[in-house]
Parts: sequence; structure tokens; C-alpha cells
Amino acid sequence: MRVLLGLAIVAVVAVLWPEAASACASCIASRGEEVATAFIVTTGFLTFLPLAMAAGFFWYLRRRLRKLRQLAQ
Amino acid sequence: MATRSYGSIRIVAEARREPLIPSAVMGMLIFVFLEAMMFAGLISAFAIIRSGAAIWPPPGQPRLPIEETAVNTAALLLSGVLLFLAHRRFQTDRASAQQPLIFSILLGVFFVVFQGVEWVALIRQGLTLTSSSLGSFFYLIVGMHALHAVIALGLLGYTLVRLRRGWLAQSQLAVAEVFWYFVVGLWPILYGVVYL
Repeated sequence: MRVLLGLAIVAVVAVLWPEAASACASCIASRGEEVATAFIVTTGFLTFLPLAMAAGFFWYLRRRLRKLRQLAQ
Repeated sequence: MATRSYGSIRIVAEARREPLIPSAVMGMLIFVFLEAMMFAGLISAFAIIRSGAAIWPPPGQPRLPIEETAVNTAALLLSGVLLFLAHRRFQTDRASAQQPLIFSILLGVFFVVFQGVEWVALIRQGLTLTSSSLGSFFYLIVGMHALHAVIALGLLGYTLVRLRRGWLAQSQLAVAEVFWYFVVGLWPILYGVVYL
């Protein structure tokens, strides 16, 4: 139980303070604030773009399914 | 399986369900998703390199032709609109879809040729693939887009031939549309990121 608690604390620290844990490659590799911001923005962009595309695709499928059902009725 | 009797004749018909998305369109959508991620990676790399540069564009490098490319962007967007018009006409009167499709292709060709002319001028001014990080990313990103535009134009040309011969199915037009809308929709983003 103590080990688990310890691991959980380490995980929380790593998530909240990535620089302290040296867990954020972009924070360490970047030179200057502008580059660090660019790293963070592009990481967000690359993370959310596929999710947005998948969401858009399922939204289109749902719309098309409704249309086909209406035509069938 | 549905069966129906007409006197002594018994007709057996298999009930066919229309697919939610035709397989060809689904394949093209998956391809477009992959290509979108590739361009997203290139844009991200470009944004990071640009943010790290003290002076942009790098010293000794020419300024990118913003105004001329804006005209070219408008031509490409108009091409997308014309393709949409062709799609609408195809649903009501197939033959009438030819004209907007031809003009859509011509505008696409204009876009690619104009890009070629722009490239020649930039190379003469000293912007090459190895001259700076701007040159490397410019030719890589814009070149990849131009390659996609050329392939999509080939697909649109093939679609036109099938339309003229009366062989074009709705799903085949949709495949070409998905690819061309990707090329058209991506360009304003690239223009904003690379040129502005």
C-alpha cells in the first residue's frame, strides 16, 4: 500500500511539474520561451487533430444513418 | 431474402442494403486522414523552427510572394466551389455536371502552373532547398501540397472522362471530391502558416 501511495505521489509530481521530474522533453530541449510555447501548442495540435477528425467522421456517419433511416421510412 | 408470388411465378429477391459509406469513399477518407496527419507534422516542425529563429525570414532570403499567392488561393477555393456545384448538378442532371467540373479542373491546373512559375522566380532570387530552413520547409511543405494537387487533378480528369462516357457512379465522383476538397481545404492553412 505504501509503495502504491509513493508511486501515485511520484506520478502526480511528474504530471504537475514535468520540468522538476525532467519528464517533458520539449521543456528541456527548447531554447527560450517562444520555442517552449511552440512545442506545447504543436503537441496539443498533433494530439487533438486526430481526435477532432475521428469525432467529425462519427458525426457524419450518424447524420448519414439518420438520413438513410428517414428514407427507409 | 424476400419472396413474392405472382400466380404460378414465384420471384425471389435478395434485399440489398445500401452501405453507410461506399468502400471507395471510406478508403479515400482513411488516406486523407493519414495525409492530414503528415501535413500536421510538417506544420508543427515548421512552427517550432520558425519560433526559434531570431530573424524571420532568415537573412539574405527573399520575401515570399504573399499578394500573388493570395490570388492563386482564391483560384483554388473557386475550384472547390465549382466542384461542389458539379456534385449538385450530378444529382439532378448528370450531363450538366460537365461544365463546372471542367472549370474546376482548369482552375486547379492554373493553381499548379502558377506555383511552378512562383518557384522558378524564388529559385532565381536565391531561395533553394539548401539555402536556409525557410527554403527547406517551403519546398517540402508547398511541394508536398503541389504533388497532392497534381494527383488529385489526375483523379478529377479521370472522373471527367468517365462522366463524358456515362460511366460515372456517384461514389466515384465522391472519391475525387474528398481528395480535391482536402487539397483545397488544406491550402489556406498552409498559406497562413508558411507565407504570412
